[in-house]
Amino acid sequence: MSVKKTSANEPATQPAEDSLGPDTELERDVYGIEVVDDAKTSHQDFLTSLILIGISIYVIITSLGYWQKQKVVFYESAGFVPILITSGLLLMSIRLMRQSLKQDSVKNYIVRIKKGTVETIKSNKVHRALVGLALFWVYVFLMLGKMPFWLASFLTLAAVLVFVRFDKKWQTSLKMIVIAALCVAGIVGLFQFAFSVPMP
Amino acid sequence: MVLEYLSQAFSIVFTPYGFIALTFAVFLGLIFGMLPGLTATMAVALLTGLTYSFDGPLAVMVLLGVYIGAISGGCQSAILLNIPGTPASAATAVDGFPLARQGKGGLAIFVANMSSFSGTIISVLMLIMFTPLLTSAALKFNSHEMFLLSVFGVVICGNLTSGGRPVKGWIAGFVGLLISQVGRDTVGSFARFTFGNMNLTGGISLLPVMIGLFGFPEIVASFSAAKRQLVQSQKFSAKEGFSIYRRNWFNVIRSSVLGAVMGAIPGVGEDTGGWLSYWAQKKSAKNPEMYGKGCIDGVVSAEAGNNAAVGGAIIPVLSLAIPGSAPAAVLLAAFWMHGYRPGPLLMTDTPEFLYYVIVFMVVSSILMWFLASNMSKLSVRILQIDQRILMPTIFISSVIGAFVVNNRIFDVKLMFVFGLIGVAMNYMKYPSAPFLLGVILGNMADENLRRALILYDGSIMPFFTRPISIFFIIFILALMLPQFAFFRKLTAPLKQVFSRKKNT
Repeated sequence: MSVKKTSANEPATQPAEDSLGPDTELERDVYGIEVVDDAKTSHQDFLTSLILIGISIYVIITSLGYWQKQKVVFYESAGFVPILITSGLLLMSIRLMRQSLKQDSVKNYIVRIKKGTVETIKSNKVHRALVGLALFWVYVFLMLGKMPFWLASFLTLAAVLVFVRFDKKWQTSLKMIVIAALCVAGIVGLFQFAFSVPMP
Repeated sequence: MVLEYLSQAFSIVFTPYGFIALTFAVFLGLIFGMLPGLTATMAVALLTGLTYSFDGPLAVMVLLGVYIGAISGGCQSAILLNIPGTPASAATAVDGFPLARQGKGGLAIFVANMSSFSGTIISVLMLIMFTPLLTSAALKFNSHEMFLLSVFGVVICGNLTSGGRPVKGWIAGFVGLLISQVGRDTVGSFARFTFGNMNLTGGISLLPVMIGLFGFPEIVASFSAAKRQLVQSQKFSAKEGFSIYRRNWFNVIRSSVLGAVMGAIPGVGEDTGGWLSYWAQKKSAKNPEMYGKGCIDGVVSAEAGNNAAVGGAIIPVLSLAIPGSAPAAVLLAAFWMHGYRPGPLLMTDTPEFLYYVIVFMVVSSILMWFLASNMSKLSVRILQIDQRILMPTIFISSVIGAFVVNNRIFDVKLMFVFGLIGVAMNYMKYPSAPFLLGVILGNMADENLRRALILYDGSIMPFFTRPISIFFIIFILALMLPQFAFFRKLTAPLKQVFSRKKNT
């Protein structure tokens, strides 16, 4: 394992580093929730508000269609509550858009979103996440139900583990494949045979 | 009757199979809680699917054991790694890790376990006191109140979990409400937003949403996880631990009460319970400057607070069928799956259930204390497990968890889709808790609002004439209006008057 230990009385020289932490150093409100920095997220807010406004308009139109189809009083129709919810959503999205536009202009947001997208595409971290997600997508949408669960799981897990620990050494890859086989055997053994849980 | 129910509950716990299952569940919960990235919600969601074939009471017992174990286990990694095992333990790390660096990690973990145990027990006492009270009050709720209650839940959860941007919390909650509208509506069985897909006519199952929303972002984050630096657990004197605990008796009680209250607020949960208790302790301390540098009283308050939120979160689950936290939301789904109907009729239909929950929680917390206090060597080993290997393995187990409820591959695909939504929400700083609460409460809101309007021929007047309705409306407005500029302008003169009075 690649974990460095420090002895009992020897203080660690550096704080722990991890993509998930150090959580405690984030700025938090009294409820312990990470305080959102408006300036950093405003271009994202602008983008999400645009998407949500689009969704809200689509839902409202579709829900009005349900009312027309059902031919009942408006409040009895299946579209009544979705219209109420999306009206609220629409108002909040407009408010979010207004808040974000106070921070910067539309033109600058388009530039920031473009720049952010290019940076994201170039980021090694995002590459890793995307490849991992792609492998899981293949597993869920193309493999499950079409081949035995244990085989699909073994192939996916082996591929993911080899990928995330890839260091060009065949010994590491072999170790990962063995770990994948043991993990899948453990999962299938425990759930299918010990707990009688049906497998996909 | 009560004694009979309690003895039934004990007879479930103390069968060899039941006791082994509970011990294993608490142990598994501790491991889940310990490992950064594996949250209590994920643990309960995963186990809900996997215990599907268990008897109702046994499954409930296992899930409660996992829940309590997971919330308590988080303190170990918070103290030894400075990475909270679960978000609930984030406040513990503030003083826990500096203590570990001073060579007092073992002592901090010992005191944290005792505080966790006390927090759970005090919250169980509150559960005993308040659940029957709240249940009988909820019997007075009709459709108007039930609708407003669900709106209130989403709004307050959005407020408290959004990090100062309530609009984002409300948006998340309203999107959740909208997701819940998919499928046949409960009043006229009309298929909504199904896009011709037969799998969607029954609605969207809760479990894939939960696993996707809370588990997937952690799995994706693990692809780029770096190495961790661990401070070894150190030897300590139990006597010193007990004396610290005795000195903190008031801190434990106050933190537990605060934690339980926070837990009972819909969707808010353990993280807030821990932080608020820590904040209250720091505010009232004689030496607030010591907090954050290794003050053990901070560890006590954070752990008592987050564990007390477990019992607190179960109070609204049992009495109103509204979850107090994300793991409690999964528990609620599990209760439904096993045929229990929490809510106003709980004490009439299945009165024994409350006593089962109480006994299961008490025994689980005792087991948690015993196991957590005796696994320091093991916990160091567990914390060394490489997350990049563990998380993909968890994903395979999540697939089984999502599949098993309806035996449909479609639910696994749903889990994937909601996982992507969870990743996007995380990235864009939208809280997931109001989203989940929206999905849970959406149908309740829809059914009750339309029923209320149908019963009164479309009149909305009863909303403004019924006392409980008015109470909820005032609360909702009090939460929402301060976010709007026009209201702030309106109330500005009043605020000035008050501040002048305060100054004079």
